[in-house]
Amino acid sequence: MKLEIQSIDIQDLKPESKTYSKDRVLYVNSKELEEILLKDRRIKSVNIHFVYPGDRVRIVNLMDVVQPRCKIDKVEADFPGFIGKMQPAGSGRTRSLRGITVLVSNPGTNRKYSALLDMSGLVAEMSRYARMRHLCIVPTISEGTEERDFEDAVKIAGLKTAVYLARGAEGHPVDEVEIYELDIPSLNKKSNLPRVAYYYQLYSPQHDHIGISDPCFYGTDVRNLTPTIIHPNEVLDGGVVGAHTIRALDTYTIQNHGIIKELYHRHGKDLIFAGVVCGVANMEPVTRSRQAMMAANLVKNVLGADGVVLTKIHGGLPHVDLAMVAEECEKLGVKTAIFIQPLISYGTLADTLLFNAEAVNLIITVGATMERINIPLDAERFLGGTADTKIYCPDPIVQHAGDPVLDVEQFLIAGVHDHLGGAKIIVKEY
Amino acid sequence: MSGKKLKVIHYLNQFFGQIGGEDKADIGFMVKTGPIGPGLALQKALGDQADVIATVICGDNYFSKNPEQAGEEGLRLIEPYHPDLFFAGPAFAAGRYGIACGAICKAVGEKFGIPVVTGMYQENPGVDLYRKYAYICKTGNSARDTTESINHMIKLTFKLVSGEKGAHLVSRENLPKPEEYGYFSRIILRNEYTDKTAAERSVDKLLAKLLDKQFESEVVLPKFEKIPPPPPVKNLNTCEIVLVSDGGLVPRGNPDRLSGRGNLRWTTYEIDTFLPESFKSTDYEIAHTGYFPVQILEDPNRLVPADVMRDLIKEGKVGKLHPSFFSTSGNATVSRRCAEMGDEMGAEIKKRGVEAVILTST
Amino acid sequence: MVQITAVPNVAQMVGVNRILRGQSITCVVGNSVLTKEQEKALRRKYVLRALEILQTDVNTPTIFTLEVLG
Repeated sequence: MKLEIQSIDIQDLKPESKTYSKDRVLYVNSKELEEILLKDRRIKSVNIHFVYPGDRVRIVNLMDVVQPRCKIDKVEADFPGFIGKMQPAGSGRTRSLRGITVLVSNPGTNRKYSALLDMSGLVAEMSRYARMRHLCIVPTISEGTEERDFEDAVKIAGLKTAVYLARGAEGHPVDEVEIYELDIPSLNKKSNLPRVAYYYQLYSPQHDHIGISDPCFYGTDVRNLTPTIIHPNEVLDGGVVGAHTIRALDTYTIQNHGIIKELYHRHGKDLIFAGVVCGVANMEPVTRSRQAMMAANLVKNVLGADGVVLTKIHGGLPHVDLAMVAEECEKLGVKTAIFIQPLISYGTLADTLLFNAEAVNLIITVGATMERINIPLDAERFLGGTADTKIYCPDPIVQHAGDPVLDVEQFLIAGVHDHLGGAKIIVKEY
Repeated sequence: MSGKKLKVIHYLNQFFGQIGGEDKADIGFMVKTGPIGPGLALQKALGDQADVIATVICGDNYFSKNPEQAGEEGLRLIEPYHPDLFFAGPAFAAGRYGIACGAICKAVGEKFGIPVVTGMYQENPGVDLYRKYAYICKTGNSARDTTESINHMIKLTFKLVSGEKGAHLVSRENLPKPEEYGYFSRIILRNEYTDKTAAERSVDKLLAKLLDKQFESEVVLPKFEKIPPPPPVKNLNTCEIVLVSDGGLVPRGNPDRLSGRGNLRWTTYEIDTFLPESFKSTDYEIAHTGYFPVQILEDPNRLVPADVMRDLIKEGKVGKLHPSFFSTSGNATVSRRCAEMGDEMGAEIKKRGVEAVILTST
Repeated sequence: MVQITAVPNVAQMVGVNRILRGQSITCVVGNSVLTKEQEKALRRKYVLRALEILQTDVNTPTIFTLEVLG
């Protein structure tokens, strides 16, 4: 499978009566975009905002951040299963705009862990998104639409907006072309290089909002997914999107998947990228041990890997589940490097482990995403909510977006942490 | 730093305070004006940034009889000075002295919120007991290094009061790196910026592991203590069993305020009134944000199997169901507190003469 | 003490000696797809097994399952 990503560096984003791009400026006809989004009858209305670095604005109720991308050589092929026709993602040519994103906010959300982003103040120093320009879409629910159904509609609206913006840059000179090519069936078995696979924990159903899983894989949910081999390009090119709460794993992060890009970068140089197995965390111990065994078996006996890197999503059960997969891999002789996310900020690093298998001895701290931080209010206005929007904090604190100081766990701030390994953060004992 | 000179209090034991040796170890607290003994090196290192205005001295035996109490007593003597900085020792390898330094640093630090700095050798028992409450610099095991150790303590202190932002931390706190400033980590964790992404680090280290080369895991696996297994229950039909759960099941309103995450409490409920044979789902809450609670709320017996236990007692298969149900919530609570709660509950259960426990967890 | 948990490896790791693997994280001694009678019968099985384990000698952290396998 061969994927070509053509990247354009956009330096400004402006409203205009027509959508087009010139000299690194993307001009956007938001009225036209609005009409496209309103075709989805679940959406009653949508506000579209242009957001710039330094703006004294706080965006709340964030459910996703998406990089503008579209297929160049295929039609109806963007985010297959979500918007585009069902087909494998990850081949052909894709346009990608750098320097801008789509911020997707659901102002009526009941989800506790909705993210926030400030474009000025302390958050602007911490978040990679604060340096970019954004089109922020804020849809409202139409009468008679169910809450969960609307959330899916909002998600899709974000993806459609990302495609719309990328299309708007048609004809603009390209800054960088990256080729992602991995022909797994014919990977050179005679090579001396170690074969490294990637185990991708996609989801855990333990936090499903009102008991319904979020669609994150070709437009469907994966709560019962058996370990599955996928091609890494499917991840990079729209087959996988973030869940309906960000928690350090938004669609933008997946589109720029840290581990997949790193393994591609080193493929043929000091390793062979043997492929990707994906799975989900399991609620039932019987299923969990079967899935762990199956995942390890795919890694070892189907992909033929010598080593595997394993990443997780936010949470404690995902940690336990991932460790079981790692343990099974080690039992089959596959060496592992496992990501953990310390859940608390006091104790030693060893205290944060929920497993203790001697062979699982290479542990990477991707970030203590629940570390608390005080954010003084610098914003003068709010998007996606108001000053009264509740911002999550563990009991007993109750706080609102307009409070002079917010006490938040870092994973609630979009663009600080990255469960897929793309951030230069490590957890240390102090 | 402001032009104002910082006020410093220094704590010493009877020996370094030049009162006497082991023969004077029982002596109680006293306060002397200005620096004494190693305090002179302390004053020199502080230069004109700060004044060692007083030295508090106490005998090691007197202090170690009851360190918490002695810490409070020392604190009362120190309070009137309203210090900006507090130093103790360094204690090197001396155990009683190390505990005294740690305890008095803890008391002063908690009261005033000022930097409290001391120095100890790694095997000093004061290190593990007090590292969370003070900055304990790593020293050698001999007092020959006093001046060097004091300079080391001052270097750390100047960093602490510098008012700089910690650009190396996501939180931007001014927390000096333990390796850089040579102190025992204070058992907290912080997100630190580093030069390589987690993806780069993981692949680098995995390759080293694959090539049988040295690699450094970012976390080292802990050693859990072995708990000797209690002997089996001999006679079930005379046995009293208590039900315990960490799934966070509480009455509606959560009157005992169990926390859904990072919970630190446990409580008991009379099981017959709490979970009667005919119950209403709306009478319960789950104080636990780590799992989706709908099924348990529909029927709490799915977490606390009281219905089955009652049947088994009627049938004579079990002697007795203990009238109290022990409830707590185990979700992202630091393991030390979990162990403490377990000890507390265990002690209470033993006190009540109950023989066996069924613990149900989510 | 016997601990019934759907994450038995963690219990084993911290040194719990008698562990019974539970049904699922959200439903430790139950199963919402069963009828009320079937579910109570399942729960009874779990409790009887737990009581059996309380009467069993162990000398190291051991994970027991509902059915005796093999």
